[in-house]
Amino acid sequence: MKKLLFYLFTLFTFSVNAQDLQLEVKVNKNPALTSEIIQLQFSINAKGDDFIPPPLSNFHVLSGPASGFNQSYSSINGKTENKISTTISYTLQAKKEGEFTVSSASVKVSGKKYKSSPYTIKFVKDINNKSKQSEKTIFISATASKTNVFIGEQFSVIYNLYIKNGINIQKSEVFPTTFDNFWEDGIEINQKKNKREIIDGIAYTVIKYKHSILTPQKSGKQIVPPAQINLSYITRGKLRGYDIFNRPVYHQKITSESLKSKSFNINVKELPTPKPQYFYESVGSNFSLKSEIDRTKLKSGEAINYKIILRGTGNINLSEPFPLGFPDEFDVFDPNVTNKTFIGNKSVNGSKIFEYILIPGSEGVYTIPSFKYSYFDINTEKYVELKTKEYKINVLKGDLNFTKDSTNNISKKNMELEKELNFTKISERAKWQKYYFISFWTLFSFVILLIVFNIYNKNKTINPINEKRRRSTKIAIKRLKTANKCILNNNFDQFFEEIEKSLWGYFGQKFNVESSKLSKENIIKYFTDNNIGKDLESEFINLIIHCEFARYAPSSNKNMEMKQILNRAKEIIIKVETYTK
Amino acid sequence: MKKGITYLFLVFSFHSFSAEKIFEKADSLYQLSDYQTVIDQYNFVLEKGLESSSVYYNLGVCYFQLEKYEKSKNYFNKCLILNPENTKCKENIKLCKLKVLKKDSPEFFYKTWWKNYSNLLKINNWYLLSLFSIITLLILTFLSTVKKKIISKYLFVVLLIVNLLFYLTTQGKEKKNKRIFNQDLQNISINK
Repeated sequence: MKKLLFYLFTLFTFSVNAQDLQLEVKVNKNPALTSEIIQLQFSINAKGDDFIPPPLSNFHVLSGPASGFNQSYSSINGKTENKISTTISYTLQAKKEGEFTVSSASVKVSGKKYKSSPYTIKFVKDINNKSKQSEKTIFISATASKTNVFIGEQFSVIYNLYIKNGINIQKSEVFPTTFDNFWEDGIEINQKKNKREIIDGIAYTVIKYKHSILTPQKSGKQIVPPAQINLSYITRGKLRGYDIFNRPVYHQKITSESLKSKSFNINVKELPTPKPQYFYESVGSNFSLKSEIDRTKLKSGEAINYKIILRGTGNINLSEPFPLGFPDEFDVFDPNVTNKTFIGNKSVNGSKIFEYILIPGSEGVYTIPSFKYSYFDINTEKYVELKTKEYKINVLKGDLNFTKDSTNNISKKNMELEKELNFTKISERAKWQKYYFISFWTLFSFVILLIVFNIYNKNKTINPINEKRRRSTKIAIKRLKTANKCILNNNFDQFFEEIEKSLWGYFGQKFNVESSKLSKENIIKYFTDNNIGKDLESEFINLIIHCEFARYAPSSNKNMEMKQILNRAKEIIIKVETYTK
Repeated sequence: MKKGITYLFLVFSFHSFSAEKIFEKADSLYQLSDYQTVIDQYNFVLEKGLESSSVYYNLGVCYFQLEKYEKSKNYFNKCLILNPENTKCKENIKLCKLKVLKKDSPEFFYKTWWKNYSNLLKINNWYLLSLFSIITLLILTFLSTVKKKIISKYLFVVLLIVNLLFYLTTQGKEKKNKRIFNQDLQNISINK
């Protein structure tokens, strides 16, 4: 199968490549009579030189080679196309009857050589029997590809209309043929492709006007009915005289005829028994069965998409959804059938897809069993069984439980009208919306305005003096901390210096006094200005004086003193802070 | 006979328009299973500019009976907008979905989140919540201008974002509702 596909692909690609340039051979009459004059034509869609003709010793060459060169420009929607073609033609007549092959000719196009494929022309002996000629000018033939078939086995019937050359059909009326006990699939016929055929020395144009694929539905001898066509055509009648160029002029005779093909029998056999259990009248070859599922884990109330794909050649176009035993808890809808079948020359092939929607009613673990399907293989004349895959389905608890009844017709009956009345005006529905929109944005803009105002205000109120004041306590505390370290290190000198500096620094920063103006008088002045108590003022001064003395006058119990002084300094700063606030 | 009765009803309804009467008539027509006429009756009510969740519900039921499940679903959705507590309506919507069998393609997770979140409250409650939160924000900002440091900067920003989120939610719900109510108009214009 793979190999076949591969070859097909390669063929296809070759044909595509070759489409660009090819030396084509054409013959106007094939098969031809020995008495007939035929035209052989080589053509290529380019400017060709160096044509090497094939040996034509089997024919009388009446004229040729005649070469022609054809060039045309066309412009459609702004697209210009340049068409060039070179043709070399011969006029030939056969020397004798038989099949003759015109071997390949070659032509050079811009240095490259193109070869034509060999072409076979058939010549048939001419019998000029006048009585026979008049007998059969037009007839219909019906041919069946098989006459001995099983029920359901497809075969083709082709109706051809044979018309003798030189007959001019004026009117035709085709009666439809109906096939009893057969299922008919018609094939569309390409009207342009007419064949030429020679029967008993008479050349006919053959028009295939009906091509059907029939599927027998009943056993026994079945009759394929005759086809009927009513035609009227012109034939040459009596000699009327001669025209001015001394050519004979005949009377025109219009004949109308009703043509009928022969009917024939088809022997339809019963399929062998016993038929298998899962046989659903499928007859053909190369059937296959596949199943697909979109999910195996779901909540109850959700739907599963389960597909069965039947593929094959035969009466697949007639196959219908076959009964499947899904679990009882599943709600099964009628399947959606997709028909993807194509009518071939002798039978129908393609696939049919049955798409089921399954809705599990309650949670649990279910299995969709493996389904069996049998068909009758016409090649081996035996039944073949196909199988689908088995699926395990895990249904979890869903949001809403649907019982089996609720989705079917009973739900329709359950639906009742509501009888409560509470009308509102439709226009009122949007009222809220409007108010909300306006109020939200007004409030929002207020908020934004306030924020902007806040930020603006904040920038304005930051004032260097206030900032200094705030920082004063921080600096004092920092100094006191280093003083504390000095106690641990027994560094007396530095300790008293730190305390003194912290107190002066605190004072200076707090009351925004320049360092040059730091004096005891100023302390008294600023303290009284700020309504800080007299005792606190004297304590502050005393501490500073004490520190000054202590630096130079060593005392016996320094360690104890230092701790006391540190505590006093802290207390004073805290007290001043509380007063100033 | 059935048709005669319906015509009679129609004549009556044109004579005296009263929504209540139409409701009664519709019910008896429904019993006669003349669903198309029932639909016409309700449409007449809607054209008068009156609506009710039950009208939409009943229209949904009628279209369900006529096996026009898409339309039916649409009307049930409308009913649900006006009356979100109608559990029967919710069930019917699910039924319609099953009947239509339009397989819901798996949504992006954030879509389902958004859906669940916006369905926490009715649209009117969303409006109220949004307004309430913006008013609190306004008060807080006002207080923070008068007295300093009522709330921290970060909390403030968070509140602002929450407010905008509420606003977006209401807008989203509004849009959805509008779409549901306009769907029908589009259907009609297509049919015409």
